[in-house]
Amino acid sequence: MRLRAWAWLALSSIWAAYLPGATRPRFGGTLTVELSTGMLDPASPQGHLSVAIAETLVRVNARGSIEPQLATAWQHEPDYKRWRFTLRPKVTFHDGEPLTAASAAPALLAAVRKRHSDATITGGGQTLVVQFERAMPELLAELARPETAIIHKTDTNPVVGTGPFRLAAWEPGRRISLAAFEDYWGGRPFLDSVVISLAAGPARADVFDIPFGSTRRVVPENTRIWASPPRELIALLAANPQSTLLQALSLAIDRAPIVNVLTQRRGDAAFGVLPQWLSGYAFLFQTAPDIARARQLISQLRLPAISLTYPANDSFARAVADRIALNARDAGVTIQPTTNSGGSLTLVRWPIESADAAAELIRLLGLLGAGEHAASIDPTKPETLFEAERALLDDHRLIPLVYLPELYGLGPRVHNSEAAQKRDPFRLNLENLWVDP
Amino acid sequence: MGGPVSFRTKVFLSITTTVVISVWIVASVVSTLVTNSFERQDSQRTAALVSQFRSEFDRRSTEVARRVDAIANSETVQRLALNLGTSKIDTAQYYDAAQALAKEQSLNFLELAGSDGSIISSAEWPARFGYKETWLLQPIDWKTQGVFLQREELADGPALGLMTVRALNAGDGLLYVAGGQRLDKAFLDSLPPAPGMNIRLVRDFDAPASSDDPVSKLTAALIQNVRQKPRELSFTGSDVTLTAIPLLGRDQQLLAILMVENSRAELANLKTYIQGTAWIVGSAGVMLGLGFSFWAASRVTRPVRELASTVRDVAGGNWDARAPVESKDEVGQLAEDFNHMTEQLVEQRDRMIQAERVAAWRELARRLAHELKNPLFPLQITIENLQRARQASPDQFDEVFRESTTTLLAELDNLKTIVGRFSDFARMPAPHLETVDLNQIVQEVVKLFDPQIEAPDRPRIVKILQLDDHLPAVAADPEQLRRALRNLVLNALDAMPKGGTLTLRTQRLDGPAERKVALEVSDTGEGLTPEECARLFTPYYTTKQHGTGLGLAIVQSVVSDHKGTITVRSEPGKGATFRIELKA
Amino acid sequence: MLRVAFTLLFGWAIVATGQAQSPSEVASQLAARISSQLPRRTTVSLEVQTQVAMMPADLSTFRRALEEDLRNMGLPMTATQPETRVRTTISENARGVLLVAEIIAGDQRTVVMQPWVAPPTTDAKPRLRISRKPVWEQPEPVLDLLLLNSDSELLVLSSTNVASFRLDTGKWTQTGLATLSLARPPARDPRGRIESAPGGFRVYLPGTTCSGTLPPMLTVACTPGNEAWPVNPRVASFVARWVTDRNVLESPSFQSAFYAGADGWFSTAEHRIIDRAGNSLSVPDAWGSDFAGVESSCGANPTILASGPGNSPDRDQAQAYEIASGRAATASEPMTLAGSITALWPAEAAGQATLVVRNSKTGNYEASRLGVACSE
Repeated sequence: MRLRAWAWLALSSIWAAYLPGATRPRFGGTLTVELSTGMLDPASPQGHLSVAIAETLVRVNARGSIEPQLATAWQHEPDYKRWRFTLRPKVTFHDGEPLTAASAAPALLAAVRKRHSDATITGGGQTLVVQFERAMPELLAELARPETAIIHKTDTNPVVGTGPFRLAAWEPGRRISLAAFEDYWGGRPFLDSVVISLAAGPARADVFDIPFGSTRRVVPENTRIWASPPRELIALLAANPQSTLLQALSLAIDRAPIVNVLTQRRGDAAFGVLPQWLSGYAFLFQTAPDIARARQLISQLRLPAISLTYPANDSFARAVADRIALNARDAGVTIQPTTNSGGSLTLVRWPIESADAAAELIRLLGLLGAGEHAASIDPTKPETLFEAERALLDDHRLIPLVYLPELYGLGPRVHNSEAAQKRDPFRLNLENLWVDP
Repeated sequence: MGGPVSFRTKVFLSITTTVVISVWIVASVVSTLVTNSFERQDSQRTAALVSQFRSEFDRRSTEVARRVDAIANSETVQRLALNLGTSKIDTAQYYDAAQALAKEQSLNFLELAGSDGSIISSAEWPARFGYKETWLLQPIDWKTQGVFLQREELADGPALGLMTVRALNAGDGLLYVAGGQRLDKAFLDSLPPAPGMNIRLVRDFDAPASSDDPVSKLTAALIQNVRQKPRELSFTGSDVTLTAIPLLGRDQQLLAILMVENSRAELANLKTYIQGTAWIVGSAGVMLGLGFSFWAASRVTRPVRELASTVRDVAGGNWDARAPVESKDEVGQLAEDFNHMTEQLVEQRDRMIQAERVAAWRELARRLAHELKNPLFPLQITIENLQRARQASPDQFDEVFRESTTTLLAELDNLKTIVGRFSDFARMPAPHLETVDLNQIVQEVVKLFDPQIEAPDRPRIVKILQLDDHLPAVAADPEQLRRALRNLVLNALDAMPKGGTLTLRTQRLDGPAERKVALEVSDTGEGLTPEECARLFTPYYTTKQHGTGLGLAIVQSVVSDHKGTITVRSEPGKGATFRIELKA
Repeated sequence: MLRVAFTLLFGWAIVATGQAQSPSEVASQLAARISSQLPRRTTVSLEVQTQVAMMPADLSTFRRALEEDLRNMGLPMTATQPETRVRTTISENARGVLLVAEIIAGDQRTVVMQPWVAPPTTDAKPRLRISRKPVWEQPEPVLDLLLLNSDSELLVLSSTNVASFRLDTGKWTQTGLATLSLARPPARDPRGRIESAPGGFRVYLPGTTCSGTLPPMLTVACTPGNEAWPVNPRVASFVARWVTDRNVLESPSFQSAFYAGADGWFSTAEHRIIDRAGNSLSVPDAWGSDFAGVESSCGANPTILASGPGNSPDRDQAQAYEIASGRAATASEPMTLAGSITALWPAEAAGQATLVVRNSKTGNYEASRLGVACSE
């Protein structure tokens, strides 16, 4: 189960009932949000919720480049072991404490040390110095991840950050209430408060998630659908490289019905690891299904039934697994979907977390245990990413299937400042929303 | 081999047989009646179950049709049909519609398919959207086709479904709604159970029979039979009755077989019970029968046995034995008659003895007269001669007197001999048994006759002795044996007046039961005719001109006293052989 | 990453910024990379396809340039039986346009890629009777601008500073930059006004008011405060002030907050257009929140330039309306813009309004002056 509190994503509106483009935003009001799955835990550093409450030093923009956030400038030594950050002035935490090196360092150090135990942080005033024993050229990408947000805890408030909203109330597992932070350095948000609750079934809130699978919500009319760019890869992973079998399967699997029907045309067929919008070259991996060739390959093997593990309680994954089993059957292989772990094949769902193509590919390669392909990646040279993906796919351990966007429905009284959305396609940022009275 | 079967045993066996057969007949009849009755009940029960199945099937069919109609008329489906007609529709959004609709109407199968048969939504196999159900495209009026059985493919294998199809107009094309319920164990469970009955749905016709389970083999045989010609059919095994009801699809192809297994355990138990009881009763009956028949046989045959015993007594010489007469039935009558007969026999015997005695006296008298007559005649003559001679000269009288007295004395010797013979015969005592060597006696006797044989004026007689060296000793009276042998030799010599061969032979006879010795005296005289042979041993029968004819009688008497036998064989012109056999 | 663009274009023009590469330039770079993978004299066939919306002219320019460059680098072109096929796809990723060239020889496929920095954008040709004169463009939000000295000097108000420029051989050259010291963090959806004042200029921002001096010594001094200022400079009686740091205005003569006002009409927070008395103005389409009254040289009725939703959600349009008897009638063709309108104020010059649009593609804020004239 993905530990996802909720994710806020950028727009491309599909059904526009009332176009807010020419209307100025108005301040005030309470936004209600319903999520059908996930944990509501503002203290969890994994949740994107933390973005509304807490901020990182830097962030990745829509073009995949690093932008200042709480840090306005940075330098590093040539050996990448020592970095110096200049903190943004006039930033305060929700409890009024100013953001300085002293107030930021403890949280930052704790977060960084979780993955890099050799980190030390020093500094004073508005300058933070982060030191490692080994080279950390990828530090900026690291500091853009929500896990490294600058927060501190108090007795009454588990999350005190610098973000546009502060935690007003928290009923664990049921509801979170946020209130606008009046002194937010980026300008007070339009909304006065946000209430996020866990609820499935027909949508009643202003904003609600639209998950894939049988827990699809009944989406009322007058709902605009917000979709992020494709940001979740669904793929088949083989426990052991079985090149002929996987080659045959990837020829047998017809992605078009999965995309057209199971994702209701909201997903995209995936042939490579990174989606087209992120890499720009994913179309090079595209192939067409070839059942005859798949059957030919299968006939050379003597295969028993193969188990395909999919995540429990995930009806979309189940539907995809069943469809794959059907395609495989046409090719002459029996695949048995199961929720028991340890199958020869596993259906995985990997989120893409930022628009930094190189960082995402390296991360995904790491998840796959194919880190060796990452060594040759040069973020400035897109061909190196292409070659790394190609080498990975030639290993025949992975069959990408579809990319899924994250979908949210916005009720008619919800408006979004698209200008700000463009800066960050991954998140439907709360601070950019406003509601009609 | 034992001896002959006694009358009592026969009676005993016949009564026993009768009892056993009766019991067996009764038990068989009862068993057959019970079996028939049970079979009838069994087939009635099966028929009832089949009829129940059919009516449940019909009810289900109606239900399925109703529900599919409800789905076809539902808002979702109507909207889909309408939108399909506009040809701008994206059917993807309906891909999970069938599941909800099927759940609403409690159907196991529901598929919505477009004009080309491609599945828009499938409840039973949701992943199959886009695949074509070409069977829907057949030119059939689905409404009149009604509800039918169909084999449906599912992700985990094939299943049997009770299906129906509705074809809705969707613009220029059609929207197919194919729905149904699964025909499986749950359906069978809905049929009310009957004890001892097991109902199964057989879909895998080629499943191998378990080689050591007769029911399984029977099932397999029944299935193959029904496969070749689908019809309702029953097979009966030792433990079960199997009834197969074929379930046919739309094209009359055999999709499944409803197998009703009716346990014959009850019947088998009953039969075993009956058979057991029959065995017990029968055994008891047989025992009783045995006892009864034994008693009855004894009772019935006792008079007969007593009669037989009496008969044996009488045959053994006890002429006084009388059979008891205990009843007035045939057996009693028989006893009476037997007794009567015995008495008569006794009387007759006595009379016969008397007659024989008289006859013997007569015979003796005759013989005596005959014998005496001969010497008497010369006596008479002589005396007459003497009388006459007295008249003659004294010289003549002297001669005649001398001749006549000689003759008188000779004839008086003759008479003395004759009387002596009779006296011997009368005086013959019981034999005094000793261990005797017959060869020795033969030699002794033959020696006695040597002078006579070798007398010069006699014609030549050749003497042959063939004596067995291994002749065993005999328990006999040697003197009597000698006498008998002397008589035989004498007779033989007398039978060869012109000479011949006299042969004496002894022989050891080893028979199966006893050892005997044989003594033969053969001559080459004129021989005897068969009638003469027969009369030979009658006292005073003689063919000799001389002799008293007692010789052979004496021989016979001696032989008889020694408990032996004597026979003669002869042919006229070829001589005669007298053979004596004695026990050794 | 601050980039400042220097452009002044009058008339119809296509806006381009930064170190953009022209189709020929990028074709040449790509050709060099392709030819480095092939031996000279290899016969090559070329296909070019695009997955990105482009002007057909640009596409054919690119293709021609690529072909010529490849030929010049010693790779003869042929359509029949080539030894190698080169299939070029103009693709796009998060960073921008990416050129992907597949070099296919038999079973071998080599791939080279070349990013294309800021290719030309498409811009729909507007059909206007509204005249639009682009003035200034920058990545930071432009709140308002002020043209002085017969349009030879320009003051640009951004959310954190004021910049001054002088027109020099057709290009604006910066002459000064003054940072505003704000009492409050700049508001979301920032709005502000800059207007001439004696001795220089005044700047009105939510929560802060500044006054400044003009170049050569551009200075500005800000004080916290919320002074009233005229919504329309030529109608001094209609003054308004910000509601703290929110972006709505209030006026003593108008009780509840509003976004814009012109000619006695106000666009309220409930998105209605009403007059002081509360009567609604009937508008044929939904107006946006911004409108400005302009004097039209064509016709006597009050003319309002109003923002409105365009055909796509990220593009607004501006349209001129004439108000008569409580109704606003469209008086011009809608002018579709390259993004959403962030500011629409009456200008200090008569008959003009200042329009600031955020280009949805480039993200830059494009400030222009609108005028209304009769269409021919």
